[in-house]
Amino acid sequence: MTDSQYLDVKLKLRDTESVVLTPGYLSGCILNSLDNLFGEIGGRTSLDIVKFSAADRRLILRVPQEFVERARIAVTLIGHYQEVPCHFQVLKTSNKQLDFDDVGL
Amino acid sequence: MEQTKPFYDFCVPFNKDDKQMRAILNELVELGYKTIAIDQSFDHSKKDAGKRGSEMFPAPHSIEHLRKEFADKLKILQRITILYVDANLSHAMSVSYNLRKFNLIAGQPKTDGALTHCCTTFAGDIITFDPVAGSRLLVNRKAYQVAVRRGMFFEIKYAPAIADSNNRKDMIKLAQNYSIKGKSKNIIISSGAEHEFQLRGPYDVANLAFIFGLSEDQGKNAVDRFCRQIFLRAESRRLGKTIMFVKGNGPIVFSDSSDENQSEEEDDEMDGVVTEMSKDGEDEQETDIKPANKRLKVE
Amino acid sequence: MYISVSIAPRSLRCNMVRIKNRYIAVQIVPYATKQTLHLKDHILAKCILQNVEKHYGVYGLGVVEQGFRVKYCNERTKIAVIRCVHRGQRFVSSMLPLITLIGDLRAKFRTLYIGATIIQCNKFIIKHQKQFLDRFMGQVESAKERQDLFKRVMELDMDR
Repeated sequence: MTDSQYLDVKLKLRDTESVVLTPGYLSGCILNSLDNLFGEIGGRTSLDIVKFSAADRRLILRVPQEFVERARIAVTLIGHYQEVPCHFQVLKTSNKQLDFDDVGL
Repeated sequence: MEQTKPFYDFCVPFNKDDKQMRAILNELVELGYKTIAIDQSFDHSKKDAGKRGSEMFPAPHSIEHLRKEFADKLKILQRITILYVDANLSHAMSVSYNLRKFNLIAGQPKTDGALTHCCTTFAGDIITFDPVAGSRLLVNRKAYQVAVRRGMFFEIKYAPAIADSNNRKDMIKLAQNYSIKGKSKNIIISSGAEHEFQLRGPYDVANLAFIFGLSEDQGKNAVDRFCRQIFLRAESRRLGKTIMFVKGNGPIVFSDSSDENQSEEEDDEMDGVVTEMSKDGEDEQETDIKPANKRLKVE
Repeated sequence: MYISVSIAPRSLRCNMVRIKNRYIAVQIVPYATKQTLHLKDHILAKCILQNVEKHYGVYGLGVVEQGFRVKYCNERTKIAVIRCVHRGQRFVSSMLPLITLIGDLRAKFRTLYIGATIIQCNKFIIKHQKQFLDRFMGQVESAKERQDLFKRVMELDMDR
């Protein structure tokens, strides 16, 4: 309950111009995927975007410990972001607070 | 030659467009795959069965330039997927020369009868399914167990699950069926990705094991060790019944006792796979090979 | 000098594992009290699967759908038996209470019994239906109707 896991996610897009990248849209996209995959009971959780960088297209997610597996699958299975083919790559998972500087690209 | 490194992706569909193919391969390199197989599908049922004896199967696409380009980064294998309906392609397969040029042979049955045949007698390595129509074909337990005993592997492709959520359900259902019928033995996960955005990293793929009803270990093996097993098995089918690996760390001494120790130590990786011989023709093979063994195949 | 490798599975033991099923006996309680209700198996099945998808998503549906079947559905006593695989049982049983609409009928489910074999389930249903008969036999006048009722209630046609 109290333990959280942090996911470092990198987003790759086919063309970067035509999409709007905001934390709100992103979390909406992830929650949508969770909802589709695990439904109303299995897919609802507190999902926070702790950090977000539009330039690097990286974000750090915080999810509850017992939910990390599902969150990761949902993130993996996202194929489109605003109709543009995309790819979410999970770079790292950790139970400590992650920062962009921690991991070299 | 026979060194392969994890991770494996045994289904990358062939694309005529070289640029697209390169993009996919580059992405694969970046994600950390080391051994991949370029897949070429062939619909057997469309061919008229009239002409016997002639070559039925297509020759592999030429990918030498790609091999050269990615020589130090990727090991590229070639694979053929045979879609078929009736069981009488066994003969065509046994006489085909083109088929031997492929590293891996996969079968994609279209009917229940073909599926049973695929599990019990098909001379290939992988049983795969059409993600669109394949969900209606569910393997029964007996056939599954036979297939496992023969060392066949079942393939689950994840790219269709990314592209379409309807396929996603079917893939989950199919995978869960394996889990129910035989505890998900002998399952590999490969991509089948049409373009580079459908590819996912190996750890992400291993993580998909959760929804496919595999255990964590099985999930990891599905992109790693099991693929190695398939490769070795396919290689043994191609080259004959026995593969030999001899690696010399110095002058090779051709005497019986010392060599056996040496190669055993060096090939501990192989022990990890399975070294026990349980096939019927084991004894005669050994005696067969011993005298003729002066010519060593070291590639 | 040589190592012969064959890829045979390490354990050749043929372990026969049974496919574990769960049989859930439910009673359908309609809001409007009617003597009979017209409920077909497939409507019931579709309704449950839809709700599984709603609450547990594609994953839940994928797990449950394999081996899911409405084995028995008695319109007179409003009892149905649902079969599902062992691993999908929690998905099904946990959302049965959340269903309020079956087809176009406002109704709720009351879970009566969850068993591992259909025989156990049958035993329970027979017991349950005997109780049901005891209550309703008094209301029926003629002997013929009684027999008729008895036949309709106790029919156990599990071959679906």
